[in-house]
Amino acid sequence: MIVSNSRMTGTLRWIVAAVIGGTVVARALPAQHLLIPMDDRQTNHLKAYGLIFNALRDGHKSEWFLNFRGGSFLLPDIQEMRRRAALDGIAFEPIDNGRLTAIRAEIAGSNMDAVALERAPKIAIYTPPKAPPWDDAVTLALQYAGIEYTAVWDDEVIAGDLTKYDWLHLHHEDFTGQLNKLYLGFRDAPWFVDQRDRGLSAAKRLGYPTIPALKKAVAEKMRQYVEQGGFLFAMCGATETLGLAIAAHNVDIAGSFADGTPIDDNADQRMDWSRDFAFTNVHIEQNAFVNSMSDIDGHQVNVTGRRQPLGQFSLFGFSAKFDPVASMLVQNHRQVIPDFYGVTTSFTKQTLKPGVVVMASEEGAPWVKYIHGDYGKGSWTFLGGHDPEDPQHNIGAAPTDLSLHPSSTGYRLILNNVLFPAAKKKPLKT
Amino acid sequence: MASGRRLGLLLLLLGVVAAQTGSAQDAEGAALSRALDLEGTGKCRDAIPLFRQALGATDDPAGALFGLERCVAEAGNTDTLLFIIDSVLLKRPRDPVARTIQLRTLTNAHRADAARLAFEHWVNAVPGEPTPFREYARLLLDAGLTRTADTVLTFAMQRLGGGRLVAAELAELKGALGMWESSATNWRQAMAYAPYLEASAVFVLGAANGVARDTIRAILDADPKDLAIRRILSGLEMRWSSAREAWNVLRVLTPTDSVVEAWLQFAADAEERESWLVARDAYAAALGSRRQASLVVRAATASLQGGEPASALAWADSLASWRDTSHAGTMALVRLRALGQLGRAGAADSLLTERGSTFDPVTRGDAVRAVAWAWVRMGDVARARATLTRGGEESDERIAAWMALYDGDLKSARTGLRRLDEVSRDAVLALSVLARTRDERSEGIGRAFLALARSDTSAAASEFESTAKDVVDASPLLLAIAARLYRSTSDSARSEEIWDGLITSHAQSPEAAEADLEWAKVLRHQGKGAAAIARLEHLILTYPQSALVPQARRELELAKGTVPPAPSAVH
Repeated sequence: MIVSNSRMTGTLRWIVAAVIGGTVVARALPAQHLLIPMDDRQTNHLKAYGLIFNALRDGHKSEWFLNFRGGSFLLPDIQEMRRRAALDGIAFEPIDNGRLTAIRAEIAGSNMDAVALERAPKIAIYTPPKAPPWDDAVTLALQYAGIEYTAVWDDEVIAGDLTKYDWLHLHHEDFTGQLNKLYLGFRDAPWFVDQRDRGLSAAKRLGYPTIPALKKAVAEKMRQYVEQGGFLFAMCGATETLGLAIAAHNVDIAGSFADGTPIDDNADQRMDWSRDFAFTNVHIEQNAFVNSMSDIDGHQVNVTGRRQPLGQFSLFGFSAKFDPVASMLVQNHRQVIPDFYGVTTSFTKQTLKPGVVVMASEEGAPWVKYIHGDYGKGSWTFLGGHDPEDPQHNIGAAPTDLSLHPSSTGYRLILNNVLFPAAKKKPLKT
Repeated sequence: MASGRRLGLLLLLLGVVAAQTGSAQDAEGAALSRALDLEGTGKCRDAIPLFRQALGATDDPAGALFGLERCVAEAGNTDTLLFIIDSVLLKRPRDPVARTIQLRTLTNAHRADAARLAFEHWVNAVPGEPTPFREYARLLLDAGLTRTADTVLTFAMQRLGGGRLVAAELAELKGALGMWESSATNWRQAMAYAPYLEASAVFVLGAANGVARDTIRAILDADPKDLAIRRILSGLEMRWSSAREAWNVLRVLTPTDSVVEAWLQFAADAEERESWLVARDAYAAALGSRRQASLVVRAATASLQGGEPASALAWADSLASWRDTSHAGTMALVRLRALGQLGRAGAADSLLTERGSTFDPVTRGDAVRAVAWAWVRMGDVARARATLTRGGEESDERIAAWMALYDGDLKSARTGLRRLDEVSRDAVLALSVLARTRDERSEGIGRAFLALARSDTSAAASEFESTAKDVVDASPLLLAIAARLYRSTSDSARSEEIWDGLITSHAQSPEAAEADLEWAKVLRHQGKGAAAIARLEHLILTYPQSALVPQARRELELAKGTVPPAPSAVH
């Protein structure tokens, strides 16, 4: 076993040469792939979604490794990808085919899956014209991640423009047309007056007598959009009021301050929940002086006596291979996330339709946080709350600066929804 | 005779009983004392029986009860403590200490039902009193059980005919729930009976943000303007905005004795925070009611520290008119320093000549150095030396180091300045230059710093730029300093030329990344977003290891509009 000095020198020389040679080769030749880890090694989770989206937009292919290192992504190793990642501070790992094979083997043998991402979805955000992006968690996230979107409002929706888009997002719009009942506290505030006047002007322009009538028509168009294959993602008050507006297509559920006529006394009984996405057997709050729409929301943030404190919610783990859609929507580097208020913060279990997929809930609480379901040829996802990084979200609070929260777990849920329509359809296994 | 005997017997009996009671109390006191000693030496288990013994006869069992709570908690035997408390409560059902310890023990043990029952017993034992509600609500709030605390306080309002007597607890609860308006209103009420909770109020309300702050301000600012409530608002402004705003809240009060005390305390706090000018104003306000020379000295010193030497001089003059000589030495030194800062080294020198002989040796030494330093800061090295010689003082390290630098003696300056703990902007700049070159002499660098001392920014920029050719090893740094100085004179064009040169000709120097960043900031403020983005991308991609990359990314976000504009830019 004793190696002669001359042989040792020769062996060492060979090893050194091989190492140096390998380094040179590694430097000269790019690795074949870039792995974008989404676990704690990632330095900017939110921008990573933008990197993938823009790669798809530019015609590149990507893969989403569900449940592998926090829901990592795979990209081709091209200079432009490295450049973008470096500029945005996104961590990436160059890997060769050998390493990729090992990863695929690990994915095949675990509760993981690789989903091909093929094209960047066309995104529409339902938001008033000229609204800055800072008061809507989704526009905030898209703006920060560098993901393109088109703002649409009542005119475009009524004109049928939603068919141009794969993905529609709604935030804190009140589709019952009651402007979130904010007239209670803000009726003289300039921004509220402006919002009301803008709504009335749009209603008249589009041939509707009142704001509630216009919003009902808009909600119906959105229902049809999903029925025909669109993806709808809603947060905050839009989740609850969209359901109310759809189910109330033949019922007056708007207070007289909004449309001049009182709420139908038998509104609860006359609602048609068969048309709605997520809810059923809902009790409508008829008192104009109670700042709540219904018993859908579990937290009732604006009703002093009913307001529930914030806790934290846990994401459910799904089978990546058998339930890839729900798996995509819950990819994250944390499973427990601090809760955050919104006009609608959560969804009471008693008002959920059977068959709704619950993706996150608070342990022991009578409400859930994050739900999903199919409707017609399309699907919808609802996330309660307004801004994951501003749990209280008081009106007039400074806008959230996402550069201070580049690894926000709550915002990841939003961006999962943005990428989910990019996935190549697989035949359902269940 | 018989009645006399009976009286004697009665007195004897009383004497015996009194003696027995006295000796029993002595024994209990001794037991408590020994128990505390044992607890202090960590022998809690041995202390428990003594605490129990001490409970026996004393009229005030609080000390023994608290001791038992501490020791039993350490021993981990909650049931024993509860048993003892029960026996105490049989004799003293209204005892607030025993009741509180019982509630605390049950709450900490997560025995919610038993705690609620104990609370109800307490409420029934002291009908109409707010203490049970306060104690229980506070325990629940501390445990984060806001919902239960809410129920307890609602019950309190029903039983006590309103929330006034539990206002502090309600205030804390509402604050925990983010109901700022109610919380602020309750804190106002609570100050009527518990002004000592002022710090708690600031802590709770301080968490509010956005328009909620304005709501709180409006509530606390409303009449009547009580001192305790103004102090809360002042504390909040100190957290939310600035010491100046905090002072504005207090200064409107009518100066009673307590208000002046509050002003003086505020001034001392402001000095701690190095908000010198606000401290000066608070002292000035207090002086309106309290004519004390010591306050004038503090106001003058605060003015000087705050960079307002003219104000310091005015204070010094005002004290002179009082003909109070108790602080003459200190005030003369303040005046000398103020004159020096104002660039009136000649006047400072004259003052030294005039008053120097009246100073004690230590003050005189300080005064001589202050005048010499004034000459140094004016760039007159020769007069600085003359002052020191005339005053019989050795040049201190600071003066010697700066004089060496102005003379171009980099070697001596390097040694001298490194020994100092001076953190002024000029000192940091000088040290950074001296650390970058091995040259031992450079007249150009001396002239450049001399020009800076004379506040001649243009000349300094020009000297730094021209010297860069001669001091080759520090060339990029000298150019970067020149660019920065040109920028401060609004000569951005010259700055941009230098930055361009740094990026192209000194690409490997640390200043190249800095040039990219500074140039990008200028371009962004000029509205040239695309050019700014190009510079920032160049920095991030070319110098990925630079410590400036996080700043560059932040600037890049702002230039691209992917994050909200900085608050000052929001209209």
